Amino acid sequence: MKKKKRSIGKSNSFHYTLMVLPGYIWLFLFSIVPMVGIVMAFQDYNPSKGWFGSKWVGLKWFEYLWVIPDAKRALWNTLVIAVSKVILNIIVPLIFALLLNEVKNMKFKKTVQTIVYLPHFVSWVILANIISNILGSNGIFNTVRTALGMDKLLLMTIPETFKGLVIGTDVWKEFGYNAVIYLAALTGISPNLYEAAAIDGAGRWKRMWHITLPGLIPTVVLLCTLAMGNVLNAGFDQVFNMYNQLVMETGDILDTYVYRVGITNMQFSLATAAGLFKSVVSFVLVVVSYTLAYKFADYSIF
Amino acid sequence: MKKKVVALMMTAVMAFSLAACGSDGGSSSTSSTGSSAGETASASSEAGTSGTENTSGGGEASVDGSGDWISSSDVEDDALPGENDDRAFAKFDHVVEVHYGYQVNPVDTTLPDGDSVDDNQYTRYLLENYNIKVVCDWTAGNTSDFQQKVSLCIASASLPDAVIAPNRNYLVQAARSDLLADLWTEFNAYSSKQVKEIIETTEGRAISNATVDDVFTALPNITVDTDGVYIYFIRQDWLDQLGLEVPKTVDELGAVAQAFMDAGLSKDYAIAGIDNGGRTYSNFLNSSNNGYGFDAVYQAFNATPGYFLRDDNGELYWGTTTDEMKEALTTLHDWYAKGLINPEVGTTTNGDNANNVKNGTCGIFMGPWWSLGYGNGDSFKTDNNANWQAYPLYTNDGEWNIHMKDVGTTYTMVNKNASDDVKKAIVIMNNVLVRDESIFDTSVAIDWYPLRNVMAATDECEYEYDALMSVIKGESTVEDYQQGGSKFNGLYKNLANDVATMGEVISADYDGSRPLAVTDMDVNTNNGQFNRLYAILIGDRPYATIEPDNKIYSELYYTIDGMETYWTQVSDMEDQAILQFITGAKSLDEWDKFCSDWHAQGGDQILELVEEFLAE
Amino acid sequence: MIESKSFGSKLFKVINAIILVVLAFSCFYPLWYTLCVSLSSKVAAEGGLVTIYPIGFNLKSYNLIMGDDAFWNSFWISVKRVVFGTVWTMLVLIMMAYPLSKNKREYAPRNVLMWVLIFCMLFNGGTIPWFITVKNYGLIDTMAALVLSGSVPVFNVILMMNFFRGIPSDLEEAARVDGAGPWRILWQIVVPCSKPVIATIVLFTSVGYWNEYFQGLVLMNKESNYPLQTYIRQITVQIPVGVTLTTEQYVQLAANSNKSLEAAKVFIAMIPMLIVYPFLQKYFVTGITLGAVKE
Repeated sequence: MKKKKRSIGKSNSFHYTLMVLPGYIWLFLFSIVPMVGIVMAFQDYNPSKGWFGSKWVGLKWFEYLWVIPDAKRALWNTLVIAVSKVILNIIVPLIFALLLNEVKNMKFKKTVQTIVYLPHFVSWVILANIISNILGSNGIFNTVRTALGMDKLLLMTIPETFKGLVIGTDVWKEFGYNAVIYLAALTGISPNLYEAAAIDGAGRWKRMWHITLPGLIPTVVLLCTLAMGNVLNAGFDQVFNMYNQLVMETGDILDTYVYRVGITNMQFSLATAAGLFKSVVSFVLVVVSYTLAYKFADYSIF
Repeated sequence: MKKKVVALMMTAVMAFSLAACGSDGGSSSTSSTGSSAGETASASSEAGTSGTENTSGGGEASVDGSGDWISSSDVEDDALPGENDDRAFAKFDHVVEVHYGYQVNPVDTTLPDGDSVDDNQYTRYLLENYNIKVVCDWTAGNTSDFQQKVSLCIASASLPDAVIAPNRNYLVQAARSDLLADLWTEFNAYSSKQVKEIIETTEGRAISNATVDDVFTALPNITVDTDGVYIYFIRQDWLDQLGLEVPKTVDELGAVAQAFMDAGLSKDYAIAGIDNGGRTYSNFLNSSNNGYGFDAVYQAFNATPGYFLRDDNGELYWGTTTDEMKEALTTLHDWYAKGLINPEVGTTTNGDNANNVKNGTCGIFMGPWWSLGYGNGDSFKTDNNANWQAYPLYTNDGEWNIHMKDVGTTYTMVNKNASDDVKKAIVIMNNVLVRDESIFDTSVAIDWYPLRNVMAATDECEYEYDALMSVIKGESTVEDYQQGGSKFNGLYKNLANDVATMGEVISADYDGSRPLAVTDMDVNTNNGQFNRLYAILIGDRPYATIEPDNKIYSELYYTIDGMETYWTQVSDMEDQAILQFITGAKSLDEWDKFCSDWHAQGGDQILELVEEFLAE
Repeated sequence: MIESKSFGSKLFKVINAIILVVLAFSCFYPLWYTLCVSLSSKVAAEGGLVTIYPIGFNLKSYNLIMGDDAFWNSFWISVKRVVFGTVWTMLVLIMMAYPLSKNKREYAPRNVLMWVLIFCMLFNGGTIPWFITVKNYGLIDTMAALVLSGSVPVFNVILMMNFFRGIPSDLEEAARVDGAGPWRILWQIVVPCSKPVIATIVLFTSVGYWNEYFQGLVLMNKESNYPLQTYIRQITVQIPVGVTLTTEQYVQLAANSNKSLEAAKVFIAMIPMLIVYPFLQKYFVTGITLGAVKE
């Protein structure tokens, strides 16, 4: 009707805006409005005075965060756990995909693939419960150890192993699912290449090294870029449901720290400051990775 | 053109967000229903006026708020249970609604079908007799969820009319945030004689605990002193079987634990410990009810961790960072290394330690009096010979140190927007609970009584122990303790009922000439009374019959201004480190470093603050 | 051809198969374990006797659950939440992703809108402001809160947008020449071409809604409004970090612990997602890949 009289671009723009509107209203109501609460990080927040009446204290809470060992510890744990997860969640599924790719029996391949997805669909609330049962004093892990003549080992109680446990269980939960993307990329590599290589006498390893891996590199690079935003995301749900006093030293991450400080100890402003710090760092990392990817790989993620 | 549209949108976004937040403050400050009567109000003028009346005017107001305390001896006697016509038990002439938030048990099975948190025998009792209608605004299914809800209520200035603060930190936070009512007038005028008597047994401590910045802001909870007295529990039948003496000191206890293991009586470990989230000792903030902690061991080393103490020179110090504590931890670690203590101490969930005590896999644990009976009821159903007995643990010099707890830990907070009727109703609900708890049909768990926040005379258990034993020994009769009897005392609210029902639980053959054992009792007829009498007559026997050599109080039982941030830091560190010293995750060689860290990371500031505060 | 029959190659095949079987087993075992515990006697479950098969096999736990109204009530709430949430999210996402898949020339505000999204993905006010906001909307204790309070799943928007970008533009061009407007192009050309990504995001979204517990905990005031995961959490996690329990709570703990019943509830809570997933699996690989990798 009307739009036919206008130029195509403009009328489309109008309709496009209509299309994105519900999404942005949703975003506005539940993401942007609560962001006003960020002001608490710069205040001595008093609930009865609210966000507009509380006393301003500038960067007091950030300075304080900088000196308390707990916060620094949480930051360090977050970095170690999150970076390890990012790296392993790229490498382990890659290896798994390569191994699975070597299997020629389609039925076996499909079965394995279906089963390894399973943990991805189970929540941490449930998995944490199961893991602590399995690794407990009477769980199968220690039953097997005892049967083999080894001492019981309570992985959930040892600070030194807890980080590994968090990282390991996360990688375990997600590797099957993360491998999907590689498996898809593998199907994209032309079979001709392999045939040619076979004729040249290249063995299994050589083919993997010279054909398969190079074929996957773009995917790996892409995943690395996407993962940059997660460098401070060590996984609240997982740690919150798995940690305990004994392993707090090595297991406490920024998100659980913010929760404890804010909700358990009611230090509302301090918790907000810690949360904001995390957001700012993540945002900077995402902008950097976006720019790098765009500049060097000419790839625009969003 | 398009850029403009976006810019416009962003401006609209900003404006709307400001408007939204401004209006939320305004609307909630004008609403008068208790449920949402918060004050997220801005510093705008209309909100300011109503918001300041409760803040202290610089300290000149007296602790008593408005009016002096009317002593229990100056008020007339309370009405009899079920009556509702006197000062403290008056029925309202119209229905008064009280909104509240409450912790309920998600797997409770005692509530009849169709009943709910705000419609059950207790709430109907309140409605029929007193015209008090309770409305539960929210519930939470476990302690952490409950704390989370209270915390969010405070943060968003949306407390219901009344809610129970899980500890004094919540009370202080809410009071400082200007969210609480001054309860002094109503509490003073309408408390029953019985409640006043209980308050008076604390010699002013209950009232000063409930007072924040000179305003009386909450109904304090008053629990028995023995909740903080830690003893150890042991399978007497195993001791007898092995021909062993009752251990008195820590070393003897360790030897017995080893003997239990060697004899195969304890399969996995001999001594139960805490679950995930527990503490190995109770500190000044949570000074009582630390079931399955190792408090008894620390005290036998003359250590009182987690308390603010004074040395001989009057110098304030922290009870954890002492040489005695190191010795105690050395022993505990030694036990752990030998496999005497539950290897999963501090990490098990779902009451695993309690389960193993119940299943008979271990033979020793520590805790307060109620750990027998209440904490361990099913032991006797599984094994009729499981003769658990309670004993004090002495120092090597033969002294018994006990740990004196705070008066109570929880507080019934009332929203400052609550009407006078609501405040009065909350005081009456408390009176009714204290007076009538013993006549309620407790086959429906008493937890369903709305806003139940226990008030008991501090020596209730010991007094009852003496009374019950005197009846058993034939020195007095059941009738003496009934209403109108020569030894009736309204302060001890459950005594009449306990004496009357004792015959259902304790065998008539038992005459008090030797210590009571589970074999003298009937577990099945009246399980509720079995638990209670078992806890009192065996669990509280040490404290009721043995005079402690040292009663140790903390100089302070709550956090004070300026202390919170330091406390968050050092208490986290301390809780973790102590558990690690026990399990060996941290070597005791690092003890000195731990102590200096504790002081450096905020401990010194805390001690300074406390010293200043106490000097005032 | 020749090497593939060599000893080394055979060895590799065997080892490879073993590794894969072990991995698959590790992923399968926890579920199996939970099932075993739920079918074991209470004593065996609490004593930790169960390892690879049920001990003291019985169906008591499942019988108990059958009569447990609170459990089924929460189950039903979760089902409704997944259905409403997924339908709503898909509608919004599709409409949102399409304009964003255009470049700046075709839709000028596109880049700004994109950065707003990214910003919202990374910044938030924290739990407390979020709670206050939702509360002020009057959504406490409502299904709307369970569906909406998580805000837009930005990552999925990006996924879908990237998929849309990969659809050959000739298709749209042809439709436009035929006089189709943006709406018709979206629903009649773009959406039918995007089944894989839509199926994938349906799966993500429904799993997300099903597994979410925190919003249920914070935003629901009555237990009768709890979604299933929140319900499960409150029965399995009983002692919080840093809390001293009172007498009553200890009594509760001792009286109510029933691991095989818990396991049965946990197991039933896992089933729906495991059922939904195979139906969507065939789209899964293409969906996630094309969404992420722009050709």
